[in-house]
Amino acid sequence: MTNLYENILGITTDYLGPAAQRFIDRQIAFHLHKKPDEITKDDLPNLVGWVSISLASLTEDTNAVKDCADRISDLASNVN
Amino acid sequence: MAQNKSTDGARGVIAWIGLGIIWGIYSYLTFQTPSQQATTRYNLDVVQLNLLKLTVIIPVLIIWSAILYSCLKLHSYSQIIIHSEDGRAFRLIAQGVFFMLVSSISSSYISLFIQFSQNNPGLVVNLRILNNYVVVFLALSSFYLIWKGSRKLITIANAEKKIKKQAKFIWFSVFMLSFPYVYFVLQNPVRNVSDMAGINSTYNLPDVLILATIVAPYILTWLLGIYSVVNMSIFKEETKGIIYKNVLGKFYRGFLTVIVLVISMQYLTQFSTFLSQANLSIILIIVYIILFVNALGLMMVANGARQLTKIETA
Repeated sequence: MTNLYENILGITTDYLGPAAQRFIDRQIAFHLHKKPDEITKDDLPNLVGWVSISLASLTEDTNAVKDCADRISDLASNVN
Repeated sequence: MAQNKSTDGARGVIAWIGLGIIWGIYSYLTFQTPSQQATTRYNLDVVQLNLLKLTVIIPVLIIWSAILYSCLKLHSYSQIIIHSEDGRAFRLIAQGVFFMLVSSISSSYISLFIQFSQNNPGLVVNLRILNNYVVVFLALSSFYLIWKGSRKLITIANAEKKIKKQAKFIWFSVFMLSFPYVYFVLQNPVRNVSDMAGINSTYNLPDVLILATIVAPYILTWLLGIYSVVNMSIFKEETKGIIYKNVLGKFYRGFLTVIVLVISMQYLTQFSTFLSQANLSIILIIVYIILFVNALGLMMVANGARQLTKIETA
């Protein structure tokens, strides 16, 4: 498991708890057509877009959706 | 996953058709029940009585549909995540909800047979005893499965210590609820036999059997129900995820409503003398409140399960 994937998973868990891994794996597989450990920083903008859309369909809490998206976006500059 | 979804869809259709047939037969039989006793007692003509029957069978359909809907939603959610620990926990909870449906249908049918057997007092007594045992056995089975599922959730959240800390509070609550319940049961003048015209005996059993085989299992049901609700509440507290917690909250509040209703119903049963003498509008108001609260609780459970499913498919 890559450091980037683990960080994405850690952030998503703050919003989706036990469902986070299944959720993020699904977004990566369905929208990026990759395996979780193949994800790179270049995939982040695309992934953030899909995560935002999917989360917005689950909650009316727009702050939570934006917060999650911003935190994943920030990984581009914070994770090696 | 797609195959699971289509199998679940087919099962759902079969379940809805089955429920429709069961309700159709129930409705037909309800309109065939002897009317003389009710028309005399409440001073109604046949048309009014049939309208009254209609106002009962429609809410019955709503309740059965609400239970089936929450059962199917919970089952479908558990199947999506069946390979995870929480999937197995939610499957047990779905099975518990299914037992609620079986209980409600069985009890309604036995009550119908009682009405058809009014000319055979011996059979009426036996059917009443059977009805009490069927309802208590199925309620106990239902809450045992829900408790077992909620217990698995506690294990997933590593919160065994938290539930142990709550044990005293839970046992104390059950004791506080049981004490007046046992008192009211023993004060119920028609608990063993009834010599009052138009009022049926509640249990048709001696006190020892009432306490050992009806009251004790109900108290155990309450204990399991309260434990289940506390387990779900702790799981909600301990688990991560703002959005997930919010959905779990709906689920937990639904079960809380159902368990409060189950307890209230047992208290209400003890006031059969009052209810038998009350006028029709009071009885109907009580019946509709019970049906409404029951449907509300179950719809909250179903809504929670629907949103949990949505998380797994988004």
